[in-house]
Amino acid sequence: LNLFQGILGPLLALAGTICLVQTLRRRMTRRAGLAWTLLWFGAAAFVFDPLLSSRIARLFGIGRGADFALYVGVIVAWFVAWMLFLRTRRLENTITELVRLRALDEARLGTGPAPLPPGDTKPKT
Amino acid sequence: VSTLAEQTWIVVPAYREAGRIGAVVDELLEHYPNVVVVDDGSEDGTAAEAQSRAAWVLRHAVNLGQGAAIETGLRFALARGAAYLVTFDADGQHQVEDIGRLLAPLARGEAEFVLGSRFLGNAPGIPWTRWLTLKAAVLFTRLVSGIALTDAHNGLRAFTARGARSIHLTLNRMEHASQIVEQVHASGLPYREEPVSVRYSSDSMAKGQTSWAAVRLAARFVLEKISR
Repeated sequence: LNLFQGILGPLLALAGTICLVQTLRRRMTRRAGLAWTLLWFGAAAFVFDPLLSSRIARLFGIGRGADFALYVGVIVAWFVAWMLFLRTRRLENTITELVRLRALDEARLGTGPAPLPPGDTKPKT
Repeated sequence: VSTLAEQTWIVVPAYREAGRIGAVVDELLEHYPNVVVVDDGSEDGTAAEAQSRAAWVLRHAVNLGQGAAIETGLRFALARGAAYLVTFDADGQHQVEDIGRLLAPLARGEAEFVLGSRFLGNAPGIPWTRWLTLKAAVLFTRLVSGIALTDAHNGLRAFTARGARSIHLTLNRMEHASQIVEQVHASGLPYREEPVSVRYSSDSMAKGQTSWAAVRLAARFVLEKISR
């Protein structure tokens, strides 16, 4: 076990344990909790066993473990970007609704001359 | 018995239109007494110009986009008992006399939505880039939403109250035009297109959509469809 493995591995495992406990205590949704738990423990496993990525890579027909890690990283990055997009959309919808409700509450009829009945000609100014 | 004009509410989304909104509202009020201007967070006196006329004025505290302004205006008009609702651009591109042509099929009960089409009517001075972008939008709408129109992004539209209640715009910016078309189609209610005129000026072109903006608009529309 080198210094890198000795420091980062336990930290990742701790993060996974915290997520698992939070999920069991229902402080995280089951889906999000399991996803995060798997992510942290998976990362810890790769740190403790550097050859693990190479073995999994071969299962998928990918030559090198580093390439496998890169592909997984890209997929995770897209997933995170998508989650952030959804969160931004929810925030945007909330702000829109707040602004709209205020506008509806404060609607005012203009002070100009009342419109003439349709068909009449408006006097030219 | 109220007339068709009295039962009609015109929704005018406006952003930075202080120089033009007055004339547009004046012309609308000559024929239709219920005009709602939704000022979408302008800082240039658009709301004050509209407020000096006998129009209803609603103000978004911040700029949200034309789709959000239309949704606000439709909700307001429906709450005030509108029987017919019309969306009308604030930049003077649309002709007030076209509104009657859009309302007629609604009043006869032939349709719940009437969408204006500049390609059935006329659009003098339309630049070829704009023509191409609009035609691409027509094709995009046909592919993505399965609805065949001649003009998918025309701001002049008319709805019955029943039709308007089936429209719920969640896309705040210009992509709302595609969302309206999709929701019209999804409602299963009858719709049709009517010819209208759109006048292009250097001012209105300056505020119009660029081709690149149209691409981004299409991407946002597709993302919204996927995320639902």
